[in-house]
Amino acid sequence: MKSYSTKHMHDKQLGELLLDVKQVSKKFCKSLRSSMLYGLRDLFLPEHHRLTLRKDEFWALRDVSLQLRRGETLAILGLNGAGKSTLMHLITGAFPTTMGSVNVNGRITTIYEKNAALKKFYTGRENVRVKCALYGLQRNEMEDVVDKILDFAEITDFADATFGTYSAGMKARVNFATACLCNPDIIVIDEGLSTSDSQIVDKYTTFLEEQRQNIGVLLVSHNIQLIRSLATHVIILKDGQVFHHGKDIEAAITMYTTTKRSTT
Amino acid sequence: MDQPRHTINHFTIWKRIIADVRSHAELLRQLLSVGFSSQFKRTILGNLWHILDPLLSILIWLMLARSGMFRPGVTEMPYPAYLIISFTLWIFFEGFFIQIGQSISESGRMLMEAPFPLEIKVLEKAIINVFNFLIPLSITFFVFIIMGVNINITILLFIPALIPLMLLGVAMGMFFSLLEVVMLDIYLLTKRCFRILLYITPIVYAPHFGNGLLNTITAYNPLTYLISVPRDLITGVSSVSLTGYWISSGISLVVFLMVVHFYFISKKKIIEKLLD
Repeated sequence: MKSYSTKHMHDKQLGELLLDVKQVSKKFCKSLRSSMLYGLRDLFLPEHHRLTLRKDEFWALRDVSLQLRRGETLAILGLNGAGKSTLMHLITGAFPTTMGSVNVNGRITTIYEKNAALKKFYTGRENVRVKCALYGLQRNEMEDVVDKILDFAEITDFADATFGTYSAGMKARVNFATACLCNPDIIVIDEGLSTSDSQIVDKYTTFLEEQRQNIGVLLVSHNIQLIRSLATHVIILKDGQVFHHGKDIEAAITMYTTTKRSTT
Repeated sequence: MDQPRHTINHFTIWKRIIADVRSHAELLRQLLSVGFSSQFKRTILGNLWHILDPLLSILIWLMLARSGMFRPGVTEMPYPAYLIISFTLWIFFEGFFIQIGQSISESGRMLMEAPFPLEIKVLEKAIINVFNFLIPLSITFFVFIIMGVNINITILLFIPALIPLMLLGVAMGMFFSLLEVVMLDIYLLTKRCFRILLYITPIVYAPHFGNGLLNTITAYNPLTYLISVPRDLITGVSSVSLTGYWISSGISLVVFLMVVHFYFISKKKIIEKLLD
């Protein structure tokens, strides 16, 4: 009983645990043909090769562990190919892990660089509705939220225009507004603000700062300024492994820029 | 913690699928809404194509039937009418394979952003295919009345009799949607083989089970019964044995249940291949 209440108080102080990633590893295949052949084989036969690498396979992530609590913004830094996006896909559940576990407590929304789930022949309103439903919103919550998103994304006048006619900035705003206003517990941002102008980035940074206590944010970005203003913790990934994990943002940024310089 | 997928029993799988569909009912509704409206979005005639498309097909089949290029054998309804309903049923079956067959690769980017149960996509495609079938079917029956086809009361069983054909089409679509992601060659090859399947099924000719290789293949082809029996229900005259229909229906049901099981335990393994 004592240990429960101590743990409860500790959790309350730290914020509710939203995400627990435990010793996650993920392997991929370099060759498209081998990847397809392995895919076909794994479809019909038991997976004996789970822990070993077959020809052309490599570990994209190795033994990665992290936690995210409500009120935290965890920035993930790393050079291209370090495994940042793979980690995000494992966390959202798009990919299964090869080893380890990902436990999510709550609704995850995503902001990626490309607005991939949005279709160019649908209208802005149709796209927002589909995406809200994709995030798990039910019919009774839909109408109110859709109007708020269109308003927040500043596209109310173009809501019924085909999405293909939108500018890159408008598309990014729709994407961002949908992810932020669908009552998320965790927002995953993987270079999701890179196509927006500084005014828009400021608007959304302010929104994230205001909402910080209610949500957890996973932020993958090469924008150091953005990380400085939002992050409460930083992880640096290098060759698929956690190279650094800490709360000192400036120290982590220095470490990252030094690594970046030495690599280039 | 999730139970390892290969040890899940069939009832648990169905329970999970039903729970997934219920919790994603709004997504299904939204996908259906945009799915219906976007089918002919880039055309000037828009939804008029839902009627124009089957009308044009009927017209083409009428012309081909009257040109005498097919040797149909004995049919219980005027040959042009036979040809129209046979092709409507064939397109209904093939539609499940084609539509559902591409459902995983089509939703790849959506799955990357916000994973959702793929069964929702299967349901969406199946419902759209049924809807797309009902319009030409209504037109076909209207054409039948004009052509003076003797319609029997057994026509009331027409729709329920299509269920086994639908189950087989959905099962084929689901199975090949997995293969389409990891081995496109097999999917493309199967798509081509559908032409052959068309010729060994009594679509342009009446079923007859005499000697000869084609007749033997036709007699053992479950589609012979799954298409002929619903078609026979329109006029009430049997052209194939009902036992063949029940055996074929049983095969369809077993194949459907096996494929649903396989699909459920396999779908996660192949989604990452969509990024390759």
